[in-house]
Amino acid sequence: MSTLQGLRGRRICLVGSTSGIARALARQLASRGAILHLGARDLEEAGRDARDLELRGGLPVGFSRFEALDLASHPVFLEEARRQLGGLDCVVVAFGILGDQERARRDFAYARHVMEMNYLAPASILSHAGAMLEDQGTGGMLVALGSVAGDRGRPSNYTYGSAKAGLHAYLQGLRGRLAPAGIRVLTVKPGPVDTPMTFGMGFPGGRLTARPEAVARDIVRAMDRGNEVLYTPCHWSLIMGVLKAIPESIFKRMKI
Amino acid sequence: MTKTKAGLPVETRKLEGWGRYPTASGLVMRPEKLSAVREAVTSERWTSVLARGLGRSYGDPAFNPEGCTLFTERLDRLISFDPQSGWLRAEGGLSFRSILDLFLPRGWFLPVTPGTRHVTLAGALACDVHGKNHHRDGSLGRHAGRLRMLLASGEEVECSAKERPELFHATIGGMGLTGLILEAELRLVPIQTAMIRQQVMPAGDLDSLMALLEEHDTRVPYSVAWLDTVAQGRSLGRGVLLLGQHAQVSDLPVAHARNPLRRGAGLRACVPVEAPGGLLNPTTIRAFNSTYFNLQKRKAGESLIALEPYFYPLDLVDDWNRMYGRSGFVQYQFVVPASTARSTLVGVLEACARKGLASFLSVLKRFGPGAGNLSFPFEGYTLTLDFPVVPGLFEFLDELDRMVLEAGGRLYLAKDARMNPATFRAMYPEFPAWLEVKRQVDPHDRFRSAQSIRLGMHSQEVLSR
Ligand SMILES: Cc1cc2nc3c(=O)[nH]c(=O)nc-3n(C[C@H](O)[C@H](O)[C@H](O)COP(=O)(O)OP(=O)(O)OC[C@H]3O[C@@H](n4cnc5c(N)ncnc54)[C@H](O)[C@@H]3O)c2cc1C
Ligand SMILES: NC(=O)c1ccc[n+]([C@@H]2O[C@H](COP(=O)([O-])OP(=O)(O)OC[C@H]3O[C@@H](n4cnc5c(N)ncnc54)[C@H](OP(=O)(O)O)[C@@H]3O)[C@@H](O)[C@H]2O)c1
Repeated sequence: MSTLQGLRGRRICLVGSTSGIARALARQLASRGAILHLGARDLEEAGRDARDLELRGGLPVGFSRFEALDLASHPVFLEEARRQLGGLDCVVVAFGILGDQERARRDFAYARHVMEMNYLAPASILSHAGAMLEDQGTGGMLVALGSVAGDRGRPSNYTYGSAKAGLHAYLQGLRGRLAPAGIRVLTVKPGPVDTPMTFGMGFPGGRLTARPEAVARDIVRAMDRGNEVLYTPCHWSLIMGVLKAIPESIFKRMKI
Repeated sequence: MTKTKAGLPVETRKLEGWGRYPTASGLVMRPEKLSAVREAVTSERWTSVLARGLGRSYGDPAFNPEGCTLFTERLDRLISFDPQSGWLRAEGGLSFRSILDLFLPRGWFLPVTPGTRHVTLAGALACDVHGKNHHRDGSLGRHAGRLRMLLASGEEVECSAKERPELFHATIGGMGLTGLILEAELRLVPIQTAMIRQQVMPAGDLDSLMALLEEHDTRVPYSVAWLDTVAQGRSLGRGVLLLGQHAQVSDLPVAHARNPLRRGAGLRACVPVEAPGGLLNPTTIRAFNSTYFNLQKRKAGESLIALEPYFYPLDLVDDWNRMYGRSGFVQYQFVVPASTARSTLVGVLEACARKGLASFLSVLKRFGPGAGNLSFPFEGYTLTLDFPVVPGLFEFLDELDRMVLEAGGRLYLAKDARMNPATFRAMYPEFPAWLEVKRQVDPHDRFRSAQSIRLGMHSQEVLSR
C-alpha cells in the first residue's frame, strides 16, 4: 500500500493531537472511518478528544502520553500506539511552537528550545516512525506539519522558520529513503491558521488566516492522493513561489 | 501579543451582538482547553469575565467591555450519547449546526430550536431559547438534564432540576451571569424523516390571525405567524400562519421514502459588502412586507418542505445582519398575557404606523406556560419586530416599553440592547429571587456583561424595593 486510499480502516497515530490543526484533522479522519490513536502531553484533553471522536466516527479511539522533548520516550510511545491500534499505517506529526522571535534573539537558550520543538523533536519521532513502518513492511505514510515560514527566513520569525526549513529538508531525505519501502512522506506547509498558535497576533480574521477545518480538508485530500508537498490553503504555493524567487539582495530590504 | 500568566493569548477586539448595536472594544480569549478556560475565569489579569457562544443574541448580553470575553465555540466536544433515550451530553460550545450534522442522519432532532442553527448549546440554555413549538413543549431548559458549571471561585459543580435546583433554574435564562456552562445534557427527539409538512394559512386581519393561532395550536406542534406591519385600517395585523409537523415516512414520495433522513441541499447566499446606507431601509421594508404577504397568500395550503429551510430560512443568507448597514438594528421582542394581547398588539402596530416605522421580519407566536426566573416566555402572545437604528428610535421603543409593561408583559433579554433598569425590574418580578442565587455563586460579580452592567444585574447592586 503506498497511499492511504479510502482512509477507512487505516490506523493513524496523531502526535501532538491537541493542536488546533490536529483536532480538526482528527474529526475529518474519524468521520471517514480511520482508526485513530492520539498522542499528547495533556491527557485530560486527549481523553476528551478521544471520546468526542468515538461518538463522531463510531470507532474506538485510544490515547497515550507523548512528550516531545523526551526523545528517549518516542519509540516507547510509538510502540504503545501500534499496540493499541493493532498495527500502524500512518503517523501524523502536528506539534510545534511558534515561539517569540524577540525573546529568541535575546535568549539563545530559548531559541534552542524553539529549534528543538520544531526540528529535533519532530525529526526524532519521524525517524522512529519511519523505521517502524519499514520494519513492518506494509508501506504506509508519514505526515508532518512544516510551514511556509520554513521556505524563506525572515527577521520576524527566523528561529522558528529555520527549524521548519530543517524539518522540510529532513522530510525530503526521508521521502527518498523510504520510497522503496512503499512509504509515502507528506510535507504540509500551511500559511497562517486560526489556532491557539496565532490567536492574538493581530492577523486579520479574514483573508489570509485559514480556518483549521479548511486546512484539515486539504490535508485529508493530500493523504488520500498520496501527495508529497502540500501548501494549504493552496494560494500559498503561488505566494511562496514568488517570494522564493526574489533575490536575497532585494529580499533582505523588504519588510515582510 | 498579550498573554496571560500561563501564556494564553488574548487580543483586543471590536465587540457587538448580532444586531451590531451597541458596540464596544474589549479583551477576548478563545480557550480551546479546559485548563485555559479555568485559568481565564479566575485570572487576576481582569476583574470580570463573560462566556460568549456564537454571538447570535442581538444586543449587548454576549460581551464584556470591562474584563475578558471568552469565546467558547472551540470547546465543543461530545461527551456521551444514549441512542436508547436520546440524551446527549456535550461541551457548552457545541453548535446546533453540529448537532444537526451529527444526529439528523441518525434520526434525531433538537427538542427546541431557535430560528438559526448557529447558536451554541450553552448560549441557547443561557437564554432559555424558545422555538415554534413553545406552546406545546416549552423552552429549551425543560429538555436539559445536568449542567456542569465553572463558578467564579473556580469550583466546578453539577446541577439539574433535581440537584442544586436553584443554581440550575437561575442558569437557564440566566444570561451567562451565574457561571460558565462547561457541559450540558440535552434530550434529543426521534424523527422519522428530515422533512416537514407545512401548512400556510393567510389571515386578513389581526383577529382572524389570532383566532387561527388559537385554533391550530392545540393540534400542531410547530406554529408561528408572520405579520405584515405595513397594512393599515381593516387589514391591520394581517398575516400568514405557518404550521408544521414532522413528516412521517408514509408522507414522502416513494423515491424519497427510501432515504427519509436525507437533507435538502443547502442554498447559500451571502451579503458580500457592508450595505452603506443599509439595503433595508423604510422603502424596501415596506415593499417587502406587501410582496411577502401576497406571495405567501398564493402558497396557501399544504406542502412538504425540508427541515432546515423550514426552521432556519435566515441561515440561507450569511451575515444577513449586515443588510441593515453600519448603524445596526435592534430586535424588539415582547410577550404579553393572552388577556391583554389583542389591545397591546393593536396599540403597538398603530404606534409603528404613526411613527412611519415598518419592521422587516415580524413574527407573532403563542407561548405556553413559562419556566420562571429570568426565562423570558410565559403564557400569552409574543411579537418580534426588527428596527434599523435611526434617530428617535429609542424614544419610540421607550413608549412601547410602557405599553408592554402596562399590559403585564416583558422583553426578551437575548434581544435587548436598550431597556432601562427600572423597566427591567418591573418586567421581571422574579429578579430579586434570581439575584439571591447570583449572590451565592458569584458574590463579587465575576461574571458581567454589557447588558448586566446596563441593567444592574449584580450581586453588589442594592435593590430598592
Ligand atoms: C436569526 C436568528 C433567529 C433567532 N431566533 C430565535 C428564536 O426563535 N427563539 C429564541 O429564543 N431566540 C432566537 N434567537 C436568539 C438566539 O437563539 C439566542 O440569543 C441564543 O442564545 C444565541 O446563542 P449563542 O450561542 O450565539 O449565544 P451568545 O449570543 O454568544 O450568548 C448569549 C448568552 O449566553 C451566554 N453564554 C454563552 N455561552 C455560555 C456558557 N458556556 N456558559 C454560560 N453562559 C453562556 C452569554 O453570556 C450570553 O448572555 C435568534 C437569533 C437569530 C440571530
Ligand atoms: N497555526 C498556524 O498558523 C501554523 C502555520 C504553519 C504551520 N503550523 C504548524 O502546524 C502545526 C500545528 O499548529 P497549530 O496551530 O495547530 O498549533 P497549536 O494549536 O498551537 O498546538 C501546538 C501543539 O503542540 C503541542 N506541544 C507543545 N509543546 C509540546 C511538548 N513539549 N510535548 C508535546 N506536545 C507539545 C501542544 O500541546 P499542548 O496542547 O499540551 O500545549 C499542542 O498540541 C505546528 O507544527 C505548527 O508549527 C501552524
